[in-house]
Amino acid sequence: MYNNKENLYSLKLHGYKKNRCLEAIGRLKFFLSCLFFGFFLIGFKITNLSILYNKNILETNNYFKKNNIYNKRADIVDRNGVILATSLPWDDLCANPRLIQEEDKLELSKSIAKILDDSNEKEIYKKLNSKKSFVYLKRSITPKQYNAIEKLKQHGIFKLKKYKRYYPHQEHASHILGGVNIDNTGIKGIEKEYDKILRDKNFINQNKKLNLSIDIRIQKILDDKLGATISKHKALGGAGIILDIKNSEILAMSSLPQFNPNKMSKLTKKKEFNKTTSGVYELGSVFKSLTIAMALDKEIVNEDTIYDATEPLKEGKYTIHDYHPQERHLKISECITYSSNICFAQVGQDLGEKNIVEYINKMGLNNKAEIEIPEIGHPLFFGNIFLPSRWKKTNIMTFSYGHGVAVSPLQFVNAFTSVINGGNFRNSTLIKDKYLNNVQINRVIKEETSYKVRKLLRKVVSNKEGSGDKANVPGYSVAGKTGTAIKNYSNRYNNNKNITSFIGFFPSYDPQFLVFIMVDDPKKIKETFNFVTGGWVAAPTVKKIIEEMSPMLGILPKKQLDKNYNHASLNN
Amino acid sequence: MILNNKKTQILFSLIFAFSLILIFVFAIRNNIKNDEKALVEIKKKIEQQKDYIKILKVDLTNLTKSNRIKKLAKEKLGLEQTKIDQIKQIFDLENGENK
Repeated sequence: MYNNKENLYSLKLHGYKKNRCLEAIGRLKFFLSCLFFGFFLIGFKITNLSILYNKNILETNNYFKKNNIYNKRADIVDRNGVILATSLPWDDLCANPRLIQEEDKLELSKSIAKILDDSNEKEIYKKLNSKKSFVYLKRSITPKQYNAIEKLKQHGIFKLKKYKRYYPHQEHASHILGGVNIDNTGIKGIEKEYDKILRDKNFINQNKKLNLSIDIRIQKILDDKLGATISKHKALGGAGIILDIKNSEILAMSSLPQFNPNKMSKLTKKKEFNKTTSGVYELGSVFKSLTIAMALDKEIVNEDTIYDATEPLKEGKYTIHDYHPQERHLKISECITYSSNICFAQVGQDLGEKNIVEYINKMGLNNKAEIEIPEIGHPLFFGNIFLPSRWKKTNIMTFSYGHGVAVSPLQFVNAFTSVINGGNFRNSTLIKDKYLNNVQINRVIKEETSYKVRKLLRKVVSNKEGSGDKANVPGYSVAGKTGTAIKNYSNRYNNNKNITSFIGFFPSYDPQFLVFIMVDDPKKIKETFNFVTGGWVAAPTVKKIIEEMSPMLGILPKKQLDKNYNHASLNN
Repeated sequence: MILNNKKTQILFSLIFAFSLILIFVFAIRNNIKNDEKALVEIKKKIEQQKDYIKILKVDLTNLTKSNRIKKLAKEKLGLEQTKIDQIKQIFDLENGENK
């Protein structure tokens, strides 16, 4: 045997044999090199396939991602952690028509239609006859239905798991929550505004929830009471807001009629419209609370100022009347208690357009409201409100008692809150604890003016002759202002159609909660002696709401206050 | 004969070592693959359990709706909505104002 090259050479081969031997060694080396290189290539490919690009692992991960995370949205909860919107697993029934035998399709479509109840047999048959390799037979089927379909043992029929948005409280708070489309993308309300966050994988994986400021119990009270008033007066609809004044958080916000976010396909324009934030209305006399605040703050009037309300006020071709004419001189407190248009037209004149524009800006009435839903209406004013030189005398007069200017209920609530909370403006919010560490102050009126306004508004409710006496709840020191506005259709007022409203807050000495109710076009009924005013329609609704929500929130009535508390004069 | 050659021996040793490494890598790959599968399965199960919890929470939300509680309290216990004048403070009771 030749052990090595040396041995080979030691044989002392010569000539032809030596050359053949050397050629054989060369071939062997070449063969081994090829073998080694081949092994290397195979090894590299195996490593690449198994470690760097493991299709199986990737596929499994993809499956996991697609089926469990995709389509999922984070929960929305109320201020007490009650679920308002969640994503629940559902199955979509799908088919690959190419895998189904032609002769089976008719029978199969019959069987599936029978199991799915509300599905059309012809429609299913049409889908099964499609040339596509994937068709949806029905979205969101129940596990029971799928189990029945599975028994048909058709390879071409399968299910796809997905998450569907579910709103356990049905139509309650629907205008706040909004809704999603078939692909689980937010298309309205909070769902649209916070779409990115609610779909964020990290947000979902960390089990985070979107905490709203609303209290679903209070929301239901608002919906029920407002709904009952609308039904009683056969009104077109209504809006309501309940606000925690201390932290500017909305506890409930309602626009009736409302929709069921679980059935977005059945959404109608009428139900979709959010009267609270999108709708802008001439709200009428509730605006007097703002006018009086402006006039008191500029020290144009004081608590003892007297205005002449002996007869209707004539200005050009217009005559301003009072709904409850007193036909005498009235103190400013009486002007607001009896809601005298004649008085307030004069207050407006004394105040002047420049001052009015200044306060409109401060109270945020010039721009649309800011809130965490996208459906927001822009306020409407006569002419160019920001050029005081363009104001006519009648504009000032009508503005003073809430006509000629249309704002959304939310905008008005924001402005009104700034008048009664000590004089600071802050946009209301739907997010819990948004202003927890916020101490920013946007002063609108002086603190003492705010106190005076609260005192005057308390009289509107506490005085038996006051327009808002039907909102009085013993022990809660409710204050507020009524509003009855004639509806405007295409720049023409229709005297037979009203928008009635009441804005109330309690307790008047340290406002904590605000309740606003607006009823659109209530009809006359015997029970209210055919009165369709804010005092007869909206004020009693506010009373009912306060009576029910207060015990729920643990707010006790204070008898002592009614007896002993009086709004000590600021002079003291 | 060939194995007597030192270079060839080194070459074969390298091939052998490389094959061993390959087998080792292959084994690791298999383990990783199995672990990954197990992990995905566990994740799936966790998700499934989370879904069940969610369904239960929604059920609880449905069962504890204020309207439902109110209706049940009225039907089964004869309880009505609390009225303002029914709310008393302890000192009211002590003073006998509840009479």
